[in-house]
Amino acid sequence: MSNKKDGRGPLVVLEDLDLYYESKRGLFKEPFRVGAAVDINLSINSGEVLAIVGESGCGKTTLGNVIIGMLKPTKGTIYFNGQDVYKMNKEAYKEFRSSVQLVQQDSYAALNPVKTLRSSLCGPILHKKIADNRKQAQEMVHEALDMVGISHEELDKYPHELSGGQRQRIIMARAILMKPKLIVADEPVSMIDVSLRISILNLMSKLNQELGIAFVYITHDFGTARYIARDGNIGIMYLGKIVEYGNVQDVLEHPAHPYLQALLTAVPIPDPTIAKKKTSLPLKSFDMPSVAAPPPGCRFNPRCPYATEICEKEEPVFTLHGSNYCACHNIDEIPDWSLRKDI
Amino acid sequence: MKENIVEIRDLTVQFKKPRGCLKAANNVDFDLRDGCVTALVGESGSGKSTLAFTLLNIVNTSGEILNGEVLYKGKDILKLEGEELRKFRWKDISMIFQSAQSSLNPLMTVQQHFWETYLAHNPKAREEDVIPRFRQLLADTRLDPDRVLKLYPHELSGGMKQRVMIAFSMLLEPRVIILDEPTTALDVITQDYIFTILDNIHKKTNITMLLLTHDIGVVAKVADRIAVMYAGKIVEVGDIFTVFKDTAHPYSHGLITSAPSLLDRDEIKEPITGTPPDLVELPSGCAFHPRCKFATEVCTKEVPQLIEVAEDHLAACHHVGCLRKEAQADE
Amino acid sequence: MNRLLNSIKDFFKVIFRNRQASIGFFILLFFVLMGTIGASITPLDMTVNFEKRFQMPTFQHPLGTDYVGRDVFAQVIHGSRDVLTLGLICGIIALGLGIIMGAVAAFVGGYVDTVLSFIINVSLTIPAFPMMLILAVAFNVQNVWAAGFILAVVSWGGVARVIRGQILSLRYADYIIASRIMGLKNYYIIIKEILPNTVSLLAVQFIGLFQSGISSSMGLMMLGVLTYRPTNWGVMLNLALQNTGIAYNPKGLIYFLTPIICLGLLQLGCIFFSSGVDQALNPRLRTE
Repeated sequence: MSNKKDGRGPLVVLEDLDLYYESKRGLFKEPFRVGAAVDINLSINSGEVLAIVGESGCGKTTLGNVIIGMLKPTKGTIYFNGQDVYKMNKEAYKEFRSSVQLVQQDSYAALNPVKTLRSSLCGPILHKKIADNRKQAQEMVHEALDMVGISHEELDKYPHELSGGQRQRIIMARAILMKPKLIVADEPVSMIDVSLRISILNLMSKLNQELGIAFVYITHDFGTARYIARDGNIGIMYLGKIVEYGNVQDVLEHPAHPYLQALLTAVPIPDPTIAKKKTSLPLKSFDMPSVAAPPPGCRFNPRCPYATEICEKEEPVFTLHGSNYCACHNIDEIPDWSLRKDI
Repeated sequence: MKENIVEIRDLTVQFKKPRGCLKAANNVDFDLRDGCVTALVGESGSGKSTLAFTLLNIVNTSGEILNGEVLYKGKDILKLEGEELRKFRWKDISMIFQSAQSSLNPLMTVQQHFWETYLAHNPKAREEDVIPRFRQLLADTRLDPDRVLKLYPHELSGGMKQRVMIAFSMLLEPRVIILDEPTTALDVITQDYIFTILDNIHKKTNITMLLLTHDIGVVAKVADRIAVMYAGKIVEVGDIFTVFKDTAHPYSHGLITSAPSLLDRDEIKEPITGTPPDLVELPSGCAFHPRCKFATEVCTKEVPQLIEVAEDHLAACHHVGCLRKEAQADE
Repeated sequence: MNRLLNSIKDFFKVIFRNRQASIGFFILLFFVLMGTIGASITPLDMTVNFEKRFQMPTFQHPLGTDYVGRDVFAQVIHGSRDVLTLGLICGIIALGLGIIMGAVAAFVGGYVDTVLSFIINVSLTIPAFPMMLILAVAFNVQNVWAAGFILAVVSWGGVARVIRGQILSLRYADYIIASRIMGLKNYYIIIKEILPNTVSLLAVQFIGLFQSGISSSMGLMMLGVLTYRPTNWGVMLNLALQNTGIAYNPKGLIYFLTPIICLGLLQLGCIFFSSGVDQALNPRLRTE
């Protein structure tokens, strides 16, 4: 599913990628394998915003860690600028290390609590020789702070002296100092006060548009996903697999996969006239199976109201359906579903 | 109009911090209507949890209630002591916490939890007489009683734990139940399920609910009434449809409009500017004035009082009409 | 330089805000001054003079004299230098050993970790005091370095375990992961990111080692297995026990009690001071 519609080449490509966590169970038993991310094919263009949405335990954070190169996939390849990340030479790997940055969920844990922000920001760029001397480092840090909207006086503070929103901005500043081409943001606003969330999302959009940084936005929240990736793509994960992928507007307006339809039905809309309309979820069971023992065949089949015999036996293949990619055997039999059907 | 089951009058709760005093509730007047689902909305540190805890007469060790009363059916809860207070809690008002995990004892089965609490309030009860009731409560939350009663907390999934907590909170047939961010840790599908269960319970028992949350989507879906709290004060209260349609306070307006909705196609939202207030050193006058685009001189000097802006709709703002005027100008 | 000065200022601001810690600080300061300036201005005369034995306090002998007529005051002051040096040496060696063992175990991991953890646990299981007794007797200690070394050899285990635990828990801290993603080198991460987080912990551990080193050395000296200098408080205690008759001889009471009270005060000072050190070195607790 490479996406070359605007002529920008893919920045990061994940090809037939599997990641299994193994836990040893004594000397003689087979190790226990959990497929946290399976059969992943994904490409991220430069300057693109991709939202990865799924419930807890679906493997979205694992996928994020694979993209930034912190988790080595069990199988498959990850390409950066066309080169295999795990086979590239030292120079290229160094470039990759700077080009792909992470913004984590917990802004307090992501900053060293015993260091001032000045030393947390200046230290890395001096160490990596992105800045030649203290003065230049200082200037670069000031420039980055202006970009993220934090005043220079805050630099001599410690992380706990700032609010969550300010800290998340500092972390964005730290990331852009590395001159990245891609930032993976793992639930960056879920721990931030609601009144500040939009401003952080707007900041990410600004970095995307002004600096051309691509974003992978990992979340469980469809509202913010749609907001941040309004011109980009979205991938929905369920039990370690991507079940639907495509342009955000297309996917959310006309979801094809029964799981996504159920999920979207459950999302509360912040408007009482719409939200109070009673709709029952198109689901057979509410409990998510364990990712450690996914059901055979289509992983969604025990909960799917449209499941047939084939769903219990064969894993569906990811195919183009209309404008979206979707992994479902009965895609043509599933009734049309629209986000606005109740309105 | 329905009667008030709980009335909070002029309540001030203060916490002593090394830097100074923190007023988590600042001369708060707040009512709970009988049989209504009221959502108390506010950010972390707005004082909504403190306010909810005073309904059970629980105040953290470093906190102290300076003045005010909390009337439950006309009786001041804050004056209850000892045995009376113990009997009141859970029997009249019960609570569901955000982290069901930490409110269950890991060494007790679900049945033991139910039985111990029941016994504490009904010393003459016999276990075999009340087990059918436990089973009914669990069945109401769509759990399988045969299985769940024997389980220990760690054997339950997150959604199941929260359902057990709901059943547990209904044990003594309280008239009021406080839900403190009951689904924040859960996924949307489980969240939807939990609220369906709560809705059924509400229909069956006509229980009064106080829902603490910061999720505007959840509020819109579940609540009949909404109260918005900012910096230890209620800034707006009213019927959910009225408040959403004709918001009077700029802070509630910001909260409601800046919540990203699944339905929004691609408009850019305007964030609430500034940062949440420091509760130890509150801004003078209206605490929201440094973040408010309508703020004038009077806002920096005088604390606005909750006044009726329409029928069953109160707001604490010096410039109540501004938002309406702005909306008209836009059209 | 300016920043260092500022952090020292901050450190004492917090210490002085905490009453307990400031009392501890002044007790420790008192003993340090005693061991440095006090010892160099007080003359020590260890010649035996039986005519002046067991004198009560006078202006000339503020704490009286011992069983052979020597000034107790001068002995205690000179002893404090010895006691503090011993505590410092024990603290430094044990801390060094503990850091090395703990850090290597945590950073290298795998089999190295298994082996080192085993050694650490063994050193924690062996009862420290009897072990010290055996070592002291076996090596016939003659100077303060050797004594410090023996004390350190049995007391580094706790430090190693704490350091290992701290590093293991920091290894997956979000900000360490962020540093790895930024491509920072391992040495930078260890020195600039992890070590600063262990400073307060190490300071508290060091005071603990200092304190326990002093009390166990006094114990060894009192038992007479570590006697290399007569003025050490422990040796004083040993001599007082053997030569004065303690409770049966009220005249020897001051001689006997002086080192005990000094030891007690010093221990108290350490405990009080360390209660504020963690807060003073941790920026988060500092500004609360």
